Amino acid sequence: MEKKWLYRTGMLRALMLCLMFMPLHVLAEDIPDDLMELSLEELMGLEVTSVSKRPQKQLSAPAAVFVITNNDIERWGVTNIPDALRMVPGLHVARIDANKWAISSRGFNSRFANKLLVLLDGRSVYTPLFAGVYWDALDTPLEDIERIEVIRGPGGTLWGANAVNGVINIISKSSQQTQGGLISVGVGNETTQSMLLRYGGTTDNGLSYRLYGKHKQQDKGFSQAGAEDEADSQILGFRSDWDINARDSLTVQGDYFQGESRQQLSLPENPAPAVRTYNDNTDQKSSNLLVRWQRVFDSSSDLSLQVYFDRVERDGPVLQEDRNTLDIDFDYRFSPTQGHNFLWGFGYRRIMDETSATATFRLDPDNRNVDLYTAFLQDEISLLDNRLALTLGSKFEHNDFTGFEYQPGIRLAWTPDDRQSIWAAASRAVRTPSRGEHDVKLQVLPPDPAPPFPVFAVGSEDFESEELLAYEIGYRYQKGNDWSSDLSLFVNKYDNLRTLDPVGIPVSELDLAFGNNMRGTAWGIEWSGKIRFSTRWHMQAAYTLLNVDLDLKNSSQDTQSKSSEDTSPQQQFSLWSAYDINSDWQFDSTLRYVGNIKSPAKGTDAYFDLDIRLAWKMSRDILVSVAARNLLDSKHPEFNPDFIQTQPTEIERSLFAQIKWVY
Amino acid sequence: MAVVMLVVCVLASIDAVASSRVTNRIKAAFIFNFIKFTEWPQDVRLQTINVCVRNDAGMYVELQGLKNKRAHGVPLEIIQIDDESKLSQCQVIYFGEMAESHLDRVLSHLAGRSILTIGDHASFIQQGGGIRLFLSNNRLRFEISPVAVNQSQLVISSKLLSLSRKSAMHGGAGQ
Repeated sequence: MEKKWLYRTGMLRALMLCLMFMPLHVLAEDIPDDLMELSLEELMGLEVTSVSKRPQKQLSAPAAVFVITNNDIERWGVTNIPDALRMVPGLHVARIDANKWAISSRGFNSRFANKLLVLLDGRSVYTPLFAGVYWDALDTPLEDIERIEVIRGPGGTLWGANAVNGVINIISKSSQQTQGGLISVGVGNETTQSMLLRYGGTTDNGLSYRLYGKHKQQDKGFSQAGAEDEADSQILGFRSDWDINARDSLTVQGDYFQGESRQQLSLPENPAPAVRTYNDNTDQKSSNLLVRWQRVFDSSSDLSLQVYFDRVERDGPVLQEDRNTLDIDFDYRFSPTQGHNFLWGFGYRRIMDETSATATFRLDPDNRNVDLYTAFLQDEISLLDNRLALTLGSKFEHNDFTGFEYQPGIRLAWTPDDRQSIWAAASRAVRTPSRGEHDVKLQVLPPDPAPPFPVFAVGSEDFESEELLAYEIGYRYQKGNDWSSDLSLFVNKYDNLRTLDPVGIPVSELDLAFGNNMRGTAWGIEWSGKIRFSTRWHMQAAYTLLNVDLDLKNSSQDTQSKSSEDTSPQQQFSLWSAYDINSDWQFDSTLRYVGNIKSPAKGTDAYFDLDIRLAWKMSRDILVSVAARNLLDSKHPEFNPDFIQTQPTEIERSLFAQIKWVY
Repeated sequence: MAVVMLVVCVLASIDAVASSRVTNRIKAAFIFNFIKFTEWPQDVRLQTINVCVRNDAGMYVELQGLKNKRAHGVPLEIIQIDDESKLSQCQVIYFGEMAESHLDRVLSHLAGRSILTIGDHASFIQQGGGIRLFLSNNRLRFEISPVAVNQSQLVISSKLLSLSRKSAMHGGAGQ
């Protein structure tokens, strides 16, 4: 595939690649040049990154962390959150159709990738019904995202179950940062319409707020099978932040989302092995409200209390669920003695669902309430004059399916000087059963050759948590602002991985029950680097190597699960050039390579792709941009579905023009 | 949940390093303003205003932007201090990271002199420093220690004082 790509790279493509490396002039920061001329009031209005205050701290973070800033998202010219994650080392982002995605960290990718936890402002968007994330319903305006922090590797010590291979924290801007109005209108051939209206203000007593509404329409992907996978969505939301006094602050935020996602489905029909294929749509309505109170005692001690309520109604041809979630979290951080930074907290979550059986799917019982109790504690110990930091901690939780779970971790970071750090970590993480794995009866497409009776995947009360012991090591080096490098290596030892084993001897139907009959090892190397050639031009690169090896236990007759070792590419890399032609023009280009995927189904080929974006700051308030994505191929497939057979479609070359007006 | 705090306190990226330079540039601009709004006593006859940097090479670089500027009719001089006995030649000192106990000693040694001390250490004011820069909601804010400033016989303009009070309302932590 790589060779093929080289041959097909014609003049135009070569030119694009050249453009990418051409040394024009760039200015990455949105900071005026004449700072000294600014008044104090103006200076106080300038935004800086909160973490930059402690550069040594960042350098010595004892985990594989990658941060995407709002500026990065804007410069990549993406129109959704999944596309913004494509440049992160260690993550595999693949589009199944125009509204379905498979995103995972360190392997095991699937539409229902269950080892990656995703949080939006501290609210879990990991779906407890089937595990995984409905990315199509995660449509927070990109303009409001302050940053996305991706932590690869187990985060269970702090974040709890299901943060097995990674955690993605999407953090939205404080409403203090989104004052005034914003109108953003975009049109394109794939994201056909996108419109955001936002207004932010401040009341007399210092309470700031923003209100926003967004509408988006996505065109269908390419499909020879005639799949129709358009999507459209609306979101209305608000956020308000209030510094009550010097110590206390309160954040209240919420949104209402309504969306329709279409797909072509292949569902088993009776009598088996008949299959019916048709286009249908999934409707989702969801809303949430989150309140967070924070009190800061001093620089090393603070507490926060967060409560949220989340409601999801999802109505599709296979799955119909109404789910209400109530979540309470309390965290407290303090420094009991010099050199110790103690963090502890506890939480409670209740998930109440109501589901309706369809012809191919039912949960038994239809309605269920699940309670989750959690507690965690962690101590960060500074040694050797702050050059060595030892972090010890564990999460403890109790869930209704597997009972008590513990997830300890130990991390060590050594920062010999201000330029480099070495860290190592060993942790245990678990992936607790989803409601589906416990209670489902899902009629699946018959395997090949098709037996003359229906085949079901059935949940099991005996299904246990999947377990991981992870060993990680990393090295960071940064030379001022000129260049930096971040390398991490890991070895993951899994046990009790999910399998689907036949139950008994099939008479009128074949039942495959969820079990824990697989173990495995994964290892990998992830690297990212950044280099600044001038104040106007910088480049960023990332490389991922991954190897997953799974073994069925002797007792298992599973014929499918072992293939999940091949659902992520072995190698990926990306290269981004960010370039300011002058203070008004920006030019960005991104080259991406994703290796081939052998499973699920027939797999997908490796591909190279190129995205470019040109932006013009017409005036202080108006930004016009044009982004072209997937330029190297008119279309290409990225991933195939599993469990629920929606027709995959190919991602097409796209063009998106946008105008943003701030007032 | 844990996210919000940890994200700010424990984990961060190498990405943010680029912005630490931005922060330093903004800090330098703040320092220039502090100088403009501070009056040194009449009996100190200034040939130059010596802006000294102790223990922060990054700030020394960014403060070079003040080199050709003038304030109160005299040019600004940027000096990197390696030998602490030379601190007395400064009119302004910016303190980078250093051990609390050591900072305490240096600041108490300087008490009473007409030197504007600036730093961003969490307990800078408690230790006897003059102006502390800090981040609040991703923006730089500052607080002024009336005690330290009075002792030093410097006169800080009311504008600076009122802006620092506004800062305190928005999370001037450390008290």
